[in-house]
Amino acid sequence: MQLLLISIMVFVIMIMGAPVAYSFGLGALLFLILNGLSLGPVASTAFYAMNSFAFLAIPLFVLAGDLMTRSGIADRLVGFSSSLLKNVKGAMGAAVIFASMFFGMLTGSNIATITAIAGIMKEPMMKMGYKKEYIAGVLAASGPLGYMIPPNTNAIMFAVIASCSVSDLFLSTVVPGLIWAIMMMVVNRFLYKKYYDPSVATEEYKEIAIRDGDKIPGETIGTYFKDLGKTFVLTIPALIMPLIIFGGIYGGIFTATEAGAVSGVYAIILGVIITKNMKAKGIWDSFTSTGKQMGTILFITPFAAIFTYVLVTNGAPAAIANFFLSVSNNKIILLLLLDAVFIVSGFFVGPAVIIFVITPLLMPTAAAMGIDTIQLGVMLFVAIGIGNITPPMAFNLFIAARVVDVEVSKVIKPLYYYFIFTGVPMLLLVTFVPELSLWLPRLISG
Amino acid sequence: GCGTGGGNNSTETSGSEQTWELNLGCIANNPTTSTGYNSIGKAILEFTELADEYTEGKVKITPHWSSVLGNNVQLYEQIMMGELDFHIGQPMSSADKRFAAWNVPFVFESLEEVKIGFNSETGVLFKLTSNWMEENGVKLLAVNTSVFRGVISQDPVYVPADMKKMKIRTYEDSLVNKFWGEIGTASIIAGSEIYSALQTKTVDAMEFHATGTMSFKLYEVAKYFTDLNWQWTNGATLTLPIELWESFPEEVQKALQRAADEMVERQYSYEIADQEQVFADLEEEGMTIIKPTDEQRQEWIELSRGMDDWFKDYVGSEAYDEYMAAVAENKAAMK
Amino acid sequence: MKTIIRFLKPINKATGVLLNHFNGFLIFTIFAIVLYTILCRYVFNINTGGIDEFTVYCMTSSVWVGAVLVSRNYSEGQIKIDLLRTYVKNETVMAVFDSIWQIIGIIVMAMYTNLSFKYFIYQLKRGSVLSGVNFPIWVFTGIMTLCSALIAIYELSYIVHLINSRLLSKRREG
Ligand code: NA
Ligand code: NA
Repeated sequence: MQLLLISIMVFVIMIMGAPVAYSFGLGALLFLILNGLSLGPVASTAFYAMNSFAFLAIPLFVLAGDLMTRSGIADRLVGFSSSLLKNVKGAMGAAVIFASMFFGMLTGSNIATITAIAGIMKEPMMKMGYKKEYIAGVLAASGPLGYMIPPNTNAIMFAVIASCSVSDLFLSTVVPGLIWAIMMMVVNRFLYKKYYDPSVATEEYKEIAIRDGDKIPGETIGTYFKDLGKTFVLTIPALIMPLIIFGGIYGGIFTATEAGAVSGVYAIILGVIITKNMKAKGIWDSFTSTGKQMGTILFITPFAAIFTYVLVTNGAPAAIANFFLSVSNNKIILLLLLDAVFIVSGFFVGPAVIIFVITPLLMPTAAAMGIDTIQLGVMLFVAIGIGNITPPMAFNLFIAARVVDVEVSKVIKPLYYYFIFTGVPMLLLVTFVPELSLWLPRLISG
Repeated sequence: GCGTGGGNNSTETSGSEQTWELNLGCIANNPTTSTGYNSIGKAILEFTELADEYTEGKVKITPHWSSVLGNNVQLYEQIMMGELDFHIGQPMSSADKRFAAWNVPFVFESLEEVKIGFNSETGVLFKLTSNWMEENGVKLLAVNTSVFRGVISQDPVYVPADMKKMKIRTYEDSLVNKFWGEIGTASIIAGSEIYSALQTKTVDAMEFHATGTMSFKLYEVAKYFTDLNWQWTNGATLTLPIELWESFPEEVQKALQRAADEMVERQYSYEIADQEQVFADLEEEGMTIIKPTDEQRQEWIELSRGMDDWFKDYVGSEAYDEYMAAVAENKAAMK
Repeated sequence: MKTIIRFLKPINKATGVLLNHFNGFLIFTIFAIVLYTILCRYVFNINTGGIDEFTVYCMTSSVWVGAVLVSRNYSEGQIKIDLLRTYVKNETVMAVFDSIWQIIGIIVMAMYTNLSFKYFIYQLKRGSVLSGVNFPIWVFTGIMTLCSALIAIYELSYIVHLINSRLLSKRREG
């Protein structure tokens, strides 16, 4: 009860503007002190929380993104894709979603996806007149595509606790992932206008921005391809980058995390030799600016970990699960409650606790209801995607807002549409249509 | 105070009717959901049940699975600091250099040998370990027999020379890196990337146990398992802060020790049963199991003994000699 | 008061420059080690000798150092949600709330510094090392402790700054 009140307090002071890290810190310390519990584990929990290779992708891809922007590669990549999609409405928003899927083939992590795609897209999109909050919103929403498209690190963890095949899990999210991406593109199509004002585009982007989504008078197929060819030639060096990363990972040269460092090196080479935008000072600035960004992006982690420690050692995850599951026996209601447990716990705890603590509590109920383990996994992965954008514990949201440099509160609004019109329907879809998850694994592994 | 539980969560009613609500941290997975090849998880759960039973409900231990309270480095450190009530796992050499002695390759020949050496009443290895841990402020209750480790690979491995050109995945441990670095190219890859790294052949091999190969589904991405038993993992050692231990009345101590001893028996029998089944299961999943001949195994052992000076230097010569003497004494006692 | 500020200003500035470059160095170290690992494994077929473990600890440290740099700059600040600001336009009300959050920040960071310091002393005494490279862990907990202390100090100085600027603007109005 006290823990519930403290969790609510954390939530309230957080949305009233208290820094996220301090809100978690205050909640945890308050609970420990009020209950006379030892404060001894606080510092070591905080220290070891960040001490994980899982986070290493963040500095590497933030750095790579920064270097790509400074070198001018990002501009060229976006210039090309906007020529390609010039008559598509909200093309750049769709491009973020598409790029997240593409990047998903390389990494199993949504955080790496957000930081990597943000690095390439944010500057040019801002220059075109997209509002920062929308760029961050689309990035945060499409982050889960980074693991819905295999490989998938969440699947590797889930496979162990649920004793099911990793490759089946990899396959199971492909169809739902594609559907999710299409839903996002549809939402983007209707939403982008509210956050897009080509009249504020910078000089270099004026031309691209104005015509984004509108037919240009006098354009023919000939001029379209001529323009496309022109931007393509400029983009060739930049397009080699994804090839290097793809080849490197699938050729067994480096891991998806290490790919961040390789992209950084390539960006430096291009910036110095091809675009000639880069000087030693600029390169060093990339390193210092990445360091500073770490101070906001990951500073939440230690304090969130202390709060999680308090929740876990005091039985909160079990309480949430049991509360919901004791309500009804009706299968449809139980399925909805299962989703509710996922969504509610997703507000307060991060992916690791959902996978390792909440899911095992739900598994007996799920099994009794005849839910296939693979399907439960897919529900879990979608729920993690949703949980990552719902505060207080909302890493995708915080990271996207930080890398785009915009207030979190502003990002909540566009993200709300993605939550209501893509996240929740997607969870219901994979809950009530098992075939979406099971069809492909059955087709391939029999 | 005694940590998250310890003195804090204990609720005193009257005199001898004191009860304790305590936390146990481990990296094992919850055996109620991770059912297959989880001898350690099963043993941990049963220890908490037995503790409850033998103390007549006075000691309630909540297990926290899957590293949610931290990894082994962190958990053992919490025990040393008196901030966690129980840890079942591997006390890491980063906390006490002497613990690296357990990681020396090719020391034990069978799980039975381990079990006898680490028997809580009579085992010479148990006594030595217990003394070491006492200096850390830690009470050692039991050492499970845990598992031996072999080699997973994409190409067949019989003798060290087979791995000369292989990139071998290891984890952050100097001794483990030293050994595999002599054999091929040792490379540290994070746990979360192992599956993908084997799949894309970023690494060609890794050292791991057979049961883990089953539960982590690594048979999906690798072809061979060599039953090498190159190293015993001290992976399921039950410890608690001495301060907490001494705060228990004698009958509670006895009950906990009994539960711990019974846990060891059970983990051993589960593991033996798993070992009898695991290779058949791995073969069914398409893996080829390689059992090196005595001569082939001898090549590995000789290579390892050639590094003994390094190991000794790394562990610390005093601790190394003490440990090896205890191992020899145990071997002698078995015959 | 003024002389103290005059004395502190250059120290503050030097700290900022130093920490900024140190942080760049930490990120560079991560970057270099990862590249070195790839080269060792794929090109040269040699062992990295466990140096990989440094990357994670450098990352941890860069987070703390980065957080100092962020709290040093009043206009930036830590990640917050700040929905209130979109509804409440009254400057004084917001200044009151800002001060409350600031005080919470000071309390949390001061307590954390204390706990972190104890942990640092513990590790120093125990001599815990990174098992891969035998490097003392207390160096990193030391950085964490120092940084959390600096954050507490900067949060405190921000409150002084807030109150000062409120008073100044009041005086100007009056
Ligand atoms: Na992926
Ligand atoms: Na959330």
